[in-house]
Amino acid sequence: MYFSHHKKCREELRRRFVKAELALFKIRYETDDREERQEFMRVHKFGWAEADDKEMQLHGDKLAEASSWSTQAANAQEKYYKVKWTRVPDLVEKRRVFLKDGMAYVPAREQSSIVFQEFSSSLEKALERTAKELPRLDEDTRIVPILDNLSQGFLAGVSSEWTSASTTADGDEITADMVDELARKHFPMCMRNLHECLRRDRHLKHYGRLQYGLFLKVLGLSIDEAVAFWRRSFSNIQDDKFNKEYRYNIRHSYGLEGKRANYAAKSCQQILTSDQPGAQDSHGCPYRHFAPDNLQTALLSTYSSQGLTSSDLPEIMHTVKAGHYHVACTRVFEITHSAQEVKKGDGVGGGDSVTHPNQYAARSRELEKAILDARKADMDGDVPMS
Amino acid sequence: MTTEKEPLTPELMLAFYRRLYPFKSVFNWLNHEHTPTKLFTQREFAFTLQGDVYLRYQSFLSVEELKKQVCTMNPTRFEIGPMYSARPRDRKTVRPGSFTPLLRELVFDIDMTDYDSIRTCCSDAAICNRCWAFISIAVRVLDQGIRDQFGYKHLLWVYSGRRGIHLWISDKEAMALTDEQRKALVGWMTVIQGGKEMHKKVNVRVKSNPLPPSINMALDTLRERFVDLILIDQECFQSESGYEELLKLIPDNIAVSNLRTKWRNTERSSKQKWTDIKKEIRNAGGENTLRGSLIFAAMEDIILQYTYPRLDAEVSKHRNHLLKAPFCIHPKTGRVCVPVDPRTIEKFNPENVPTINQLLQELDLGSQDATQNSEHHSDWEKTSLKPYVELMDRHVLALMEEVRKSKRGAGSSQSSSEMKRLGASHSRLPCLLGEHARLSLHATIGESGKACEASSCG
Repeated sequence: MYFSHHKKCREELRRRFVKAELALFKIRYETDDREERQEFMRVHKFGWAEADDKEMQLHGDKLAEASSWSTQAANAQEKYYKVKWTRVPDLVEKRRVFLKDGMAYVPAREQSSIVFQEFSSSLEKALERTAKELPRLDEDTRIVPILDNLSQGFLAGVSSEWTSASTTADGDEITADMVDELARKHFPMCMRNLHECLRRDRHLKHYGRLQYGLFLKVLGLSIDEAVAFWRRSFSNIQDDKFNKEYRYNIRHSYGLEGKRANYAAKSCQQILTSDQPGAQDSHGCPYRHFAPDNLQTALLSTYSSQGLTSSDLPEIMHTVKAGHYHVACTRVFEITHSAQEVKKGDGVGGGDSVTHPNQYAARSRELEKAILDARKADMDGDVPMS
Repeated sequence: MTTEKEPLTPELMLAFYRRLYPFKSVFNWLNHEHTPTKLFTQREFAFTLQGDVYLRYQSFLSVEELKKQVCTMNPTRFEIGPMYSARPRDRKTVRPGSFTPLLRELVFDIDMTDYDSIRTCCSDAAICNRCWAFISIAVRVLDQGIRDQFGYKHLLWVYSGRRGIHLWISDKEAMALTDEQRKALVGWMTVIQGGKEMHKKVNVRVKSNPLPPSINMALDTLRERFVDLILIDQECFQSESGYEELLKLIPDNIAVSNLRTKWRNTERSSKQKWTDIKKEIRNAGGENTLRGSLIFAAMEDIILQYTYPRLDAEVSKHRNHLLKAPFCIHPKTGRVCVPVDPRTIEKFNPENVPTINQLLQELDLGSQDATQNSEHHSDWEKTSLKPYVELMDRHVLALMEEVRKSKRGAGSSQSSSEMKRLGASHSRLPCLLGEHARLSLHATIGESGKACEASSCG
């Protein structure tokens, strides 16, 4: 158990390390002048062939189309490099090259992308090799503590994600019966939407269950309460089917089955970028994945009881349009918590914007609790009327 | 939908595995050579046993061993996973962390349920010959795109037994793709995106630029089929809800309100409505004006949204995803998951695929007049399964031929260097992601799973 955890940490660290190193490399590469770059390319011999004239003629129009559709007008004089597509997966994924028979024709202006890819993949490989050697290093009592210390510093510096994960907002466990009310009072739009869908369809698709289930786990729903919650929610499903198809997954997400990993709830970043919702899915970020008119309708019907009005919509939709989904979500938080004296710019505390659905909910519950406590203190302080 | 009248009993399944399942063909296809290689011996098989017990990490040293085990366990179906760095059944004896998936066919899964919001003839599990047209279009576009752009040649299409189709690509490069590269390839092929609450699911343009060439190529194929399938056969825009969905995709308020007025009062077919939109382009001043060009682009996007293949991306992205083996029996329909020739996909009718009952009956009839031989080596030859096994064997022959040539060319050490090249990239939530439905049964394995393993040793 300990070892797999240790390993997982290291994988996460490796990813972050590569990301940081790549950022640094990009800056250095971009500040180099042309000659330095050419020298760099010459020294490293990446093995790219320039597409020859015959190929240019053969694919000419399409090359231009392929590169012009994504950026500014194509330059007829532009050079193309021909590489195996597997070496430029990021360009392929975004359709920024022309592909034919497994070869990617990369316009010269995208060349830096190949260099960056090459840089990070060789760094990753080196790190993996090191990782494999690491168990042997364990015997040396000097180096491992240094490494552990270094890695902690590294995590502390980079992490800006909301991390008070496993602790509940006020130390209380929540029960299946409380979810409806908590949803109404404290959940961000993504979770409200999943909750509504669950209530309406008496079912959620896989990624919806995953996104919502892990959120509820971190909110404080115990495994027994989680099973009870999902069992009752899927009211159209027979016990037999539920036990066979869903119980295991719920237990799995609590680290009680399979490889027993303790999965964290998804952050906004993960919700926005991974597992994009398919045509029948309800998960994802509504600010990002809803059509604008559906989003407006959903916001109004969800939050009008908490003070959101249609006059707030233009501002929210403006930020959505600009792609600042977390800003829109934060603004909705501010508006719906104005009764608790949250003002514009306060965000979810100290001007922070929403980076995690659990952070949203936790802050919302905190505010409610503060008011309840204050009220309670007032009451206790009152002299009983005689 | 036609379903099997007689239930699928364990006895039927066993007879099918003993006498009909083409183990040899499947072995050759997975192994690429005649003698067992790591591609077979380190390959994961997963069995779904009677009573929905699920057994993962099975592996076998030879095709005989596989057949013996299948006949012993008599699974309702079995699935195929990747070639790992060690034999899956020995995974607990290797150092933790060094048991990783290395090679695996690149696979795709297309399922009719992803078309539920479009098709008007059936819904959910039902599939008829009419809605199969969506699948046949998807096959055509994907097959053509992958061959043209990625240059892969060894594509095997397999009917999933009910409402979908699988694609297995066995080219050497495809087998070795990392999860990251698989994800990139899926990204390249994916056009339909956005959840339930997003009307417009096609957003492949940057601003209002023309479509990228690969999608333009697909569009050439789709244009024609769109008329037949969406406008004429499915009449997708006839009902009010149908045409309202359509109007949401047109980015021009004037045109939309003109069309809505026109369509609300008179009964017009989908085809007429499509022509009406074209007229709106003319009213706006033609394709070369700003408004006209936007409506024109929207029409292209609509064709894509209604006909472009809808992929189940998760299946393709991870090497360790399991997929049902060809020639298994679909437990609900009793049909065999047969390979399909993409060149004649339009003529393929899922309702004509042989069922297990039918095949066993054919076999009984055939053996009455033949002399009673005890060994039934290739009994499938006497049944309507024959053309499908032959299709598979032709596919395998081409694959083996290429492997033999490349071996002769480069010496035999190259496959191991290929393996070294592969990093151990990890997917973060493999169990939760890909195999949710299957893994859900894991919980019940416990005792019965062990019992099965024990019985097979004896």
